[in-house]
Amino acid sequence: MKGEVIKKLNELAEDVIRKAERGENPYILIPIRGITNVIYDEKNRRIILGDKVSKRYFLNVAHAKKFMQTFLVAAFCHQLLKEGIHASLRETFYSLKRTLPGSKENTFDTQDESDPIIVDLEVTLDLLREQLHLNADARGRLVGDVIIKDRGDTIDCSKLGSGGWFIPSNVEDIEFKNINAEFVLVVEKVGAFERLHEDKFWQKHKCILISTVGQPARGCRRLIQRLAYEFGLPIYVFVDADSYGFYIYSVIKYGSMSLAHISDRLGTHTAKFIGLTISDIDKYGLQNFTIKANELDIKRAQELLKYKWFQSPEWQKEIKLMIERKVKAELEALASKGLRYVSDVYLPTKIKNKEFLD
Amino acid sequence: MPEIAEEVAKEYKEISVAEFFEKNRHLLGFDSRMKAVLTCVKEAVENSIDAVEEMNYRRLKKKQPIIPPRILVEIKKVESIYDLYENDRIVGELIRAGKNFVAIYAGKKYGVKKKGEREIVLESDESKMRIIIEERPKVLVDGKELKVRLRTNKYKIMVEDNGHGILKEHIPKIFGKFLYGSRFHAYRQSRGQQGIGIHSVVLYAQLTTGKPTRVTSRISKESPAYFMEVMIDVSKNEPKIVNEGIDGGFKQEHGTRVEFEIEGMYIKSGKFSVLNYLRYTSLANPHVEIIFKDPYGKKHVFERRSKDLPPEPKTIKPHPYGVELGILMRMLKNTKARTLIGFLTTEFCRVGKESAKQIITAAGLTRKKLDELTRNDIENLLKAMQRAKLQRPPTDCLSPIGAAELEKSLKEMFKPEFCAAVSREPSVYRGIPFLVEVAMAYDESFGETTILRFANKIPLLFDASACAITKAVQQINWSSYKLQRAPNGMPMNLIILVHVASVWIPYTSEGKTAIANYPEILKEIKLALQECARKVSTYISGKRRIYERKLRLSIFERYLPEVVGALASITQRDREEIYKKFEGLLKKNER
Repeated sequence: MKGEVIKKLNELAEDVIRKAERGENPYILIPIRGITNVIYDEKNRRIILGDKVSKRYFLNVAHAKKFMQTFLVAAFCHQLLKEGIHASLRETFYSLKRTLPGSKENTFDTQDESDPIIVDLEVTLDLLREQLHLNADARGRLVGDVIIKDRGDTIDCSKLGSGGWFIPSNVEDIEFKNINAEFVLVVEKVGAFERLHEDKFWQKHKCILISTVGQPARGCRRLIQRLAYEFGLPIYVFVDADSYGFYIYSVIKYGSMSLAHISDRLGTHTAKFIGLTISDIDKYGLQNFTIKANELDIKRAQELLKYKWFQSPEWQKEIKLMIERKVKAELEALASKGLRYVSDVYLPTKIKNKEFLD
Repeated sequence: MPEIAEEVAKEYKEISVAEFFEKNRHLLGFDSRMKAVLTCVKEAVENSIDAVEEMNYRRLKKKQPIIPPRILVEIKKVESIYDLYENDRIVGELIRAGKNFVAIYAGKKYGVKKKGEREIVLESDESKMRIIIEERPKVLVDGKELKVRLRTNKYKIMVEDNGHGILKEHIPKIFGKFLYGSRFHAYRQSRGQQGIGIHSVVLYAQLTTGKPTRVTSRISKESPAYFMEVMIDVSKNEPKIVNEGIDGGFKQEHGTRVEFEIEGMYIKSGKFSVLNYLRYTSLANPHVEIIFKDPYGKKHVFERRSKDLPPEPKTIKPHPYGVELGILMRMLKNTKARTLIGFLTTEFCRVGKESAKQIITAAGLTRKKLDELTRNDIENLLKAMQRAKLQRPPTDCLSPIGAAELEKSLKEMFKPEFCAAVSREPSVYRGIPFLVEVAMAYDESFGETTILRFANKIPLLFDASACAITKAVQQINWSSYKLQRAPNGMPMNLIILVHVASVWIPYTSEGKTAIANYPEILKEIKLALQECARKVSTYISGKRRIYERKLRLSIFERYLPEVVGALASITQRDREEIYKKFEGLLKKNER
């Protein structure tokens, strides 16, 4: 595996040298990421990358710097692989940042410059960053009656106090020793996670509780997928009733546009949306606890409305309702009914009645 | 009420042009002290250039060599007059001439008692006045300091040329009578055109300092220089000779010198300074050398940049399309012709016998004799003349500065990175021929664009906003010329020179400060501006291309070592070997 990655990097470099030798303007082919080149694969219910590619030339004023940056990252990964060590995104940035001789220009000014270059390299070589020995950002927590093995340590996730288990960036080698759960509840916010954890929701309802802590990281998404596909656990996503919450759900379910090339490894198409919906506002009498949606929220909602994976009538209805009423609601709004309302009433009712959006 | 009518009638009286001027000096460019100095220099210098040119045109015809024209301008401060204030009331005045001081204070005259380097003591029969000599002197009377404010300066202005000189019997009229001149009746491109210029200077000097204008002229080596001190009898509009005689001190073999003393304010530099005016005059008259001694004793020389004389402007007869009723009436009165046909064919250009007959028929005047024409007839004649199908007036009467000369002048004066000039073919407005020339200097260091306006080779400094040239510049869509632009849309980093030459420049006022907005003139200026701007634009894009290519290469060169280093590290190949391959690539790309 490692050898193959090194070979791919080598081929990329050799190709450029060959082009230079022939007097051609050297370039690398990079699949285009973003909305213009993502396709919704209806059959497998996931977002995949289209076949549009861009050429990144060295002898092009607009491309030259990125061309250089791409090879700096490539050489860095090559070295990591050879030495058998891993680096974080931040470490990568600091290792490569320096001032170009005879100028005031830096190879990279901020991490915002190096991060996308890493993704470029991933899609170009059709590799995961883990395979390039780069660690993705880790984010996410888990509690539940689960025993796992990570780097030789056995961890009982029901006995980790109030914090729960921290989901690492790379979950490929995590072993699940024992799972005593009937479904997985994924919540976006730490606050909601802590509420449910304190209420022992996972114990009462026999589930695994995961918090993505905002936008779900790769490790977290891959873990959810493994729990769903390897152990057949239903996944319920519990997020705010707004365009961002909806999008987080879609990322878990279908994959994201920026990582469309690895949706098959990150998306969990069986995931279901448990709440909060805009219709819940009326249903649960939350009218006085909504927030006015701002222009950006509405704009985002209008974009969602057009996404192929949000075309089901029930989703269209929800999004349109949000645009129409210009409102959004947070999970915490349910606390207006009592702190334990969410654990004792809201979620159990929804699960019992199978009130999900798909 | 006949008695009232009679009373009123008594108050009517004829006013002379000179009187008119006295009351309306702003029309002629004397509305501020600063402008007055400039106007005086301007009028005298323009006369001088006309004189030296005229001489050389005539010498050329006689196959004599050209005499390099040289004009000398000298301004000396004669005295400064300060008002003395006490409790914000004027209580006296102090007159300073060099290091000499005289004062009047509280109705008493103060004369010099004791002179020192830095301090002077004045004295009246009552008290003493101490004056500390500084840029603005300090005045103390019996230990009490008075407030001193400059009221005005008096300057002596001298302009001398090496032209043909003036016959002494012509001096009084040329300088001392309004509307007397060789120009007003002639359709010919010249600097002065109304016959007002120099007389107004004589009058202004007389009004502000009471001194006559001294004119010294010599017509040949053989004859002595003759001087005359002229004033104007304002009520009669007649010259008055105050003093005359032979001037042994006139060094030139031929030429004219004019000297006058005026009140005014000399400014050292800037848009409206004498220095600036002379610089621009030199710009448009590269065949003339101009030497200027300023009031501080500094000598500025604007050298001759061209050995050739500009083409001689020819006098043409007016074209029927371009006359007005008043002029036509006067022409009819003064003509030597005895028939209408004769009048039309001899006094106008482009009118042959056939066209003349057609005009007369169209005006219904076939039976009328020349001296029988009524005002109504003349009006009909004018209408017929303007409707007649006639050829355009000849255009060889104009004398452009020339695109090449303009370009050279701008280059030498402003040292720009790029220069372009355009000289348009002559065109016609209201039957009057004119032509437009535009030159542009471009340099990235110029900043805000300067517009230099010229009419018949003289710089126009005032009233820029009223001028057709400024209007034309503003009406150009500057976005299409690759120039940097100011927030108001005007281009940056340009010096735009526009010259309009015509046998009759339509000035907006007698002060000759701005050209009127005739659509034909505006259009020609715009076309010339566009043509010239295109040249600048071509230069800029070429420059930008070179710059961009350089920038590109420098970018690649900067990134190359990094790229090569990374490639070498991945492939485990030799750095130098890879480097060479890329260097070849860059070299190939340089072209």
